[in-house]
Amino acid sequence: MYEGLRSPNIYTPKVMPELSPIILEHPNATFWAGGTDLMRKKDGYPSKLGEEEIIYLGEMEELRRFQRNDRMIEFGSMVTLDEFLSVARSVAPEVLTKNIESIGGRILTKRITIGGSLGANVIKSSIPGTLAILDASYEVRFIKRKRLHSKWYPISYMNGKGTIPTGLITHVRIPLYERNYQFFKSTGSFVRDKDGAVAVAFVANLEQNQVVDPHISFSYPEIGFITLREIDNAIQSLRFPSSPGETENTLKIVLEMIRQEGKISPLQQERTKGILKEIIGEVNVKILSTPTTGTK
Amino acid sequence: MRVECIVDGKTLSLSLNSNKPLSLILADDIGIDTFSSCCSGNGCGNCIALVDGNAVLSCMVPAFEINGKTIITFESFKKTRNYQDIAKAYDAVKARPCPICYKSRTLLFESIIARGVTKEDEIMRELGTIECACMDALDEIRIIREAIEIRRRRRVRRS
Ligand code: FES
Repeated sequence: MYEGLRSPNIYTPKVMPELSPIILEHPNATFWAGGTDLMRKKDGYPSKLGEEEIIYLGEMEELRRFQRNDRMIEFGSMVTLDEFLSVARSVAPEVLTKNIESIGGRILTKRITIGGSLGANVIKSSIPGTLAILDASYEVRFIKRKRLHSKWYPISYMNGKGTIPTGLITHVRIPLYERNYQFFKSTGSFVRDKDGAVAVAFVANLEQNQVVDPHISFSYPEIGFITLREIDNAIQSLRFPSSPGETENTLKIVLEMIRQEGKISPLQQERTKGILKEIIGEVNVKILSTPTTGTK
Repeated sequence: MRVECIVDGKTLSLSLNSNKPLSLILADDIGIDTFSSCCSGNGCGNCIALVDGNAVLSCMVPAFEINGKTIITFESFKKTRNYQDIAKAYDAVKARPCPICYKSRTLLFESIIARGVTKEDEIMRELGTIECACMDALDEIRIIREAIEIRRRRRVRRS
């Protein structure tokens, strides 16, 4: 049935010095991490991209490492979501572990790699949005003047906030700040429900009657993630407990800003609104239940 | 590329396109017609096979990854005693998967049972891959625990 199809050659570098000559020789080669995104491509197989070779990254030890200190955790892009949970659950921000758990059963999380979820094109993942609000950054190795270079970029650049050279994502670093309120929720499946799925990640510090330093991201399967300082500011300007009128007003403003950033379906708008309401409701309850320190 | 693997107990040497998905290899190159549906990676979860004992979505596994591996499909698994353990657990719990997801869900259960996972939260993390909503999660947990117990008793009797 697939006669005449060209079979891509598979290159399996084991260390970085082996990788550069392969990239130089095959600049259009496809990097293969877990393959979950590539295998979903409509023309993935039989492939029309006959000239593409495959660089399989699964044997590069350097991309599987994990390290941590008091200030950050850093891991290779070939660490799977499942491995990440088993080694970093106790130290990783809760918003990220909740995000990973929402992605699906272990059959999937054992295959999806951190690097793959950052580079996914066919269906965008909710992971980059969560990493962006955690001020995470990633290392890209790219070829320039026939040599392999390395540079770190904030993940927030991925939604068009900066220009990044195309290359291989090799490491991700997450700073460990204290945030006493973390929230993640996704509704609908990013794979099966592209017009309906939404994920929202939110971190902040709750102090007396306000949220301090809030960061929120909204992720949609076909758009990717949306983070805006203006949205964070709108949330920060709310006084808690927030009245129904104030809440409604903020929701309107935030939804309008999201709509300006990308085209989301009416269902996604409704779901986004519902999740935002849930966050504000939860913050209201937390702030009301925090004992106030009074003066005599 | 040449791929050597064992499929349902048969040692095979196949000439395959390196990125051909295992689901298609099973159907086209080996003639095992086991999957009831194929969504090509869109998450139906009905294409599960066991690769070296681990449940995988076969539409996501390319040919170059199965070199040297042992693959079990439901077609050979249903002839084993391990399958009988699960079938008995279905009867005991009075719940079973629908015909659409039966094969995949049974293989998924087997991958969990073989590792002896009994904690509820751990089982829950293993599930959630199959789209079909024919089963209640609590029933699935009971089936897995029941099958582990049936298998344990069978092994004790044998020894
Ligand atoms: S065929 Fe649907 S997930 Fe593999």
